[in-house]
Amino acid sequence: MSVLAIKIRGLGKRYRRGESIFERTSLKEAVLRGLKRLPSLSSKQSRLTGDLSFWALRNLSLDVEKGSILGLIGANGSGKSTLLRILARVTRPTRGRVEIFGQVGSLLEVGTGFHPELTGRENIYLNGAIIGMKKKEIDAKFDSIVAFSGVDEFLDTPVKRYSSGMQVRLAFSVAAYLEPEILLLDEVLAVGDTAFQKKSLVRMQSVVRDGRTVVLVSHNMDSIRSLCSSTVLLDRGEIVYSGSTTEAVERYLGLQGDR
Amino acid sequence: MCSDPEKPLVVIEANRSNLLIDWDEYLEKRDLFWFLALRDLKVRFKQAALGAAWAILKPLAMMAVFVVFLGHAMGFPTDGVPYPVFYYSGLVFWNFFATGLAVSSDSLLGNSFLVTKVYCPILYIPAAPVVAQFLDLGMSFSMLIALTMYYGIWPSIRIIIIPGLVLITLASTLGVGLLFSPLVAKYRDFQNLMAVLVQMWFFMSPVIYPSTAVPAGWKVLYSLNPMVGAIEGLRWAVVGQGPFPTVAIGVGLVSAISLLCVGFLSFIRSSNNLADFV
Repeated sequence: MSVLAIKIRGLGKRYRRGESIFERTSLKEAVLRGLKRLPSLSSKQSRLTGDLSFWALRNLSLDVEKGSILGLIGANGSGKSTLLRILARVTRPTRGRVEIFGQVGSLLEVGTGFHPELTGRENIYLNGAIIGMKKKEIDAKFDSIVAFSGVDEFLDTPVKRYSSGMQVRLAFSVAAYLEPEILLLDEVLAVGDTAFQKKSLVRMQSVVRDGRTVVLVSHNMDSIRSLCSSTVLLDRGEIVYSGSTTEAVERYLGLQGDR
Repeated sequence: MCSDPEKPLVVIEANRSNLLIDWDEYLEKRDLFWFLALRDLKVRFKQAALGAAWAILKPLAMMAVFVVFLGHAMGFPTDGVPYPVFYYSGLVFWNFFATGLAVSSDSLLGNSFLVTKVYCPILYIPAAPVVAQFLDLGMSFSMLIALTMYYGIWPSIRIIIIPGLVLITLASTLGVGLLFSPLVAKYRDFQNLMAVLVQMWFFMSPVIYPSTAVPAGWKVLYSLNPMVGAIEGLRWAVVGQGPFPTVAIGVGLVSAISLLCVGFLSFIRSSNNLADFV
């Protein structure tokens, strides 16, 4: 009986298309829309809600073993990023239940959390805190993070002066030294030039050797093949295959070919 | 630190009550809160032309304008308090409120990535920049004490009520900030509406006039504005003229706490699904 890091049962996520709180509108429009809806409330509105929502994940159940590197692959829109976001607690599920047995750290997008006015040094601390590190942890790993990113000389310059490559390397370095029990990565290995990518791969492999669990979403089949001990293939919100990485990748490529 | 394999560290479930906050999580991630507050300070001071000095110069400049135009030119009443002391004492808490409100209501819009891309305890976002205001507040207080001493008014035991007044101001600023930040994020023109509201609020508070100017019958209604209690309380504590403003502070305290509760509840409700609509 293996130890589980994550237990997912019957997970479902419905998104409502339409008004986003960050999809800005004006007060005037909102009031007018509200007034227009008044006369035809019941029938029209229920039709509208039906058209405006879709299920990104449907009745998904999965066990993730402790110490494994699980690959999560699938076409765009298959639900992999949604699943990761639920695990990272960025968004809430509509149905189902997830149990997590360990501290989670996540990197869902590189360079998020960088403030252009602050220096590289200041941003390391800010980013580290955002992805779940304590100040003491960041202090201890500061030198390694800087060395890995290669931006030593520019550490005290505002990040807005960095090239995009430098920004991305710095962001990834912070995450690379984050050592939570469970690490969630969303398509972030394909950053920087080849040399950096190679470094990242090696770093990820050593992170996992310490017995941590990693869930990795990627479109890069090479990374998946070289890192993942097992892989899950998603299609339209459901698990289509779960098991050997080679088999999953083959099926994925097959599906891609059909499209 | 190993987690017990039998018991999950975290459970994520659909249909949990919207109002539930995981306070343990908030405590756990408190380093992030301080980083956010520190970041706000650093950015504000790096961007301002005079940096940290701006925190003192801005209220001083406003005070100078009031002293010259309202005090000397127009002869507005100040209940016998020297003009600079009167106006500056009005500005100390008002600036905390107005600036605090401005930064916290912008916070969701400016930090959307903290909501949609990472896990950040959501209350931190509007609360951190308000807490950062305490630095400005500290500097303003020092300036105020210096001003009063210059006019021969010495601090006395009355200043003991000041922490209570700070709490009233903090609760009001947070409450309104929490109420407004989802609105600013969602509605383009809300910021214009907000500017008008804040201006009206300024005139409804005794910043440039003493609350004795308000007719006695309206006293309680007037005091529903928590800034009335805070500002009158500060003037009483620092200058010492007149009776203790019991009504103003009493009503103001209740009002501030209500504002905080309303703001908190409304924020939690509207922020629940923020990350979804992207």
